[in-house]
Amino acid sequence: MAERAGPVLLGLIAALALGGAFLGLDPLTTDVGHALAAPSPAHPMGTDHLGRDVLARVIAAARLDLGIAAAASVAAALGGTLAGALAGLAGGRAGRLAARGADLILVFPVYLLALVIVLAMGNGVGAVIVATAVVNLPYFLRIAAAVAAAGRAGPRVDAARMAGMGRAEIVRRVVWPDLWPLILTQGAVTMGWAMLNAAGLSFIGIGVAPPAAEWGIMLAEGARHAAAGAWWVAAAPLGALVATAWACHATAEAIRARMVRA
Amino acid sequence: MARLLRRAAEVAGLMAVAFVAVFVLVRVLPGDPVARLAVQPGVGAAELAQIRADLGLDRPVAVQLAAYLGGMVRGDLGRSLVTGQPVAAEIAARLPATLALAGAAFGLALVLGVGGGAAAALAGGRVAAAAGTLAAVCGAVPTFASGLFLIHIFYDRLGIAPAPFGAGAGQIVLPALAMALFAFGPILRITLGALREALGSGAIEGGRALGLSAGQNAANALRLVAGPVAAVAAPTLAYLIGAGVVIERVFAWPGVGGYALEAALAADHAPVQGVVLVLAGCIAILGGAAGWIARRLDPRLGDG
Repeated sequence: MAERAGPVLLGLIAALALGGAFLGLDPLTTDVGHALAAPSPAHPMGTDHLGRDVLARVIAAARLDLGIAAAASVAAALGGTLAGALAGLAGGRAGRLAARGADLILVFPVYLLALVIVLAMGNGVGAVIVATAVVNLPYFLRIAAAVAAAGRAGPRVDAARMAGMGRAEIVRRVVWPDLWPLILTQGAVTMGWAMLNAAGLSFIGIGVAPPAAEWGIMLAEGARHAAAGAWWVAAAPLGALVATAWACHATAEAIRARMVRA
Repeated sequence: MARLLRRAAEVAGLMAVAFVAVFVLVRVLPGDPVARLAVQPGVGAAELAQIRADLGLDRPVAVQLAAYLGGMVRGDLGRSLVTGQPVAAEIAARLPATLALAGAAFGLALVLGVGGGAAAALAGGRVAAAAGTLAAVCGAVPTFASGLFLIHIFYDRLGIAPAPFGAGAGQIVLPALAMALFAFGPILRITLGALREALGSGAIEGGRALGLSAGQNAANALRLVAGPVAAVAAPTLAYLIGAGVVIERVFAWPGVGGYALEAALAADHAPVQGVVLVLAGCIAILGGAAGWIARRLDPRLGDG
């Protein structure tokens, strides 16, 4: 039961992100007459300083935050796995070169790299996705290289060779079954990280810009009113962020636990 | 000694490649700082070209790089377009604040992670499971959110924390705590897991059979977890150094992160380049040091 909580919660949030647009909620219309209204039946999570419905904004933001995180994670997973697998299978010089490349990327923390990419590409969601993908790529690369290197030698590879299998067949039967659960686990970890990064970057003015609904921006705006007692404006996006990040983490743990049992 | 030199050379080589990559990337990709800088009306193509020529941005990338590297040797990292001040001096003035904050946060994260992990491993059972859950929940709260929350509780409500502006000794506590709360989870989990494994391992059982004292066995067990903990702690430190970009904004902490952020938002190249160069250098050096310490503590890791 406890093990299912993470994946189920993540699934619910993803469904809300994808289906939220069909709920008929309006995240952008302002109503200054009802600014900073406490939670009520009309506004279950209250309204913000411009009278916008906080619940509608939290749900609208889910699509943006999860979308950015998913795009960055998938890009990092694809690029890193491909490069790592090729390097691991090749071994020797190519393998060392890939490992050095991963080391190189790892001296850049995500926020610094994001600043560089903002200079290069301009400030926008694209810069956040690229920075997050690049920073997380080395982890996939290292995993894939280690697993793929095991596909060059070892008893199973010997057996496969003696059975007359070619390289592609060996990758499919020996490397892939070991690799994909690890990549999936790392993907879930990356997703949680990527989401927190994206929120942190929009909080400081990089990536998503107001008035778009995004959890980091909502938190930044809401924090100013929390001191005056309007806690709900910040509490709702914070709850959404923490719940999603925890769900990603718990999903990774659940996949890992299943792998250990298998 | 020779090994140390070789490591240092590797770190230097890594940084050189990293820097050239950043330098070229920023110039080859299509963001034009001058065009964005000069969005005021009345600035025509001729003025833009003049600004580019003044900044040397009309020269080939390789020539710009050579000029920059030549300046770097003399401690010149260029000038900020916005403030007109030399970047090297501005970074030198702000770097201690950033490193102090990252160091304080790292120390706190180590205490929480290693101390909590060791306590949980010794207690075992439900305590260990609860510690793992707590670490996971803390790791889901971003630093800027916990930072705002800490300001609200300790400054707005209780009034026991100093105003969140500036880099005083009292001001460092809340931002360091916000960063440590986010970062200690992985250290706790790896300490917990590695210590549990170490306590059941041959080296510890062998120690008991040898008649080593409980203290000696405990010291051995801690040595056995040093490698895994260092492997997680090094990227954590790197993260904390870079995380200044966000947390310095929340606490108005006068470090290089906030400086680089303002420059990046104003399309001001030189400060961002300088900060990236300096911080990546710090991370590479500290990462190398962390690996060295781990190998000293756990002889099984070899000389790598």
